[in-house]
Amino acid sequence: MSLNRPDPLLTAAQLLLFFFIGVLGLCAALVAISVPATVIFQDRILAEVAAKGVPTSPELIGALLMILTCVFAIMALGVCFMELLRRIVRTVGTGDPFIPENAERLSRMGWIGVAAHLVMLPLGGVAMWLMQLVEDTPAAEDIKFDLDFGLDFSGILLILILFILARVFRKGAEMREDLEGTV
Amino acid sequence: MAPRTPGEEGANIVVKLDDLLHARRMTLTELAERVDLTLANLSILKTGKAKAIRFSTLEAICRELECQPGDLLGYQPD
Repeated sequence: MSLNRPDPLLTAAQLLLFFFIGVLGLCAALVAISVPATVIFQDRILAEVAAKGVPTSPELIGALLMILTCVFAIMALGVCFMELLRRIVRTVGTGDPFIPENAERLSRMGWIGVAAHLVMLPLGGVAMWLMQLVEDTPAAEDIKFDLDFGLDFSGILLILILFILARVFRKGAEMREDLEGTV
Repeated sequence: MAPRTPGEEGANIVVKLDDLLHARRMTLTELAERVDLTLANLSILKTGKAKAIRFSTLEAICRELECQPGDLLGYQPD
């Protein structure tokens, strides 16, 4: 069965997802570039940090690299997540969403959510360390830390829903296959 | 759709539609018209690729071929 007229909601979702994938992909590329740039210009970065009155150490560059790598990983996972969602939306548009591929995609989206939560742990740890480093320096007034690395219940709920939906789609695909073989 | 493979659910059920059609000198197309089923669906049944059969389909085939469900379906042990 295929839908004759394009559904405006699905078209809007596809366009929005395209936009998000583009923006997030671009941001991920910029962050990826900044990793080697941090290594190359580490002396300049340390000098600027020292000028702000923050005690510098080689660990600081390591911490910055860790943060950039984690941010890149989260963005890359976000791109993968939205690309999988876009493919699911596309199958809904063609009128054939209950396929084993979509069950697999939903399951992968769930695992991406788990991976993103795991990446947040070292990111939170390093950010906390940076905050403590800056805390008692004159730079603390200029730098605003907005840390929120606690347990994200809505994120955990989303992961749970994705895994359940994956099972629903797997069952739906099986039922559809049975129906196709019924005369 | 691939035919049922040994070990698969329902693999031991044999559809004897071909024999019945031959005995009645009836073509699959003719039966399809009489039971109001598509030729493709009836072909799935004839070639043993069907996973299930509706009572309404069974009833219509039995009516047109003047047979019992047991004449159409058989069980073949491994």
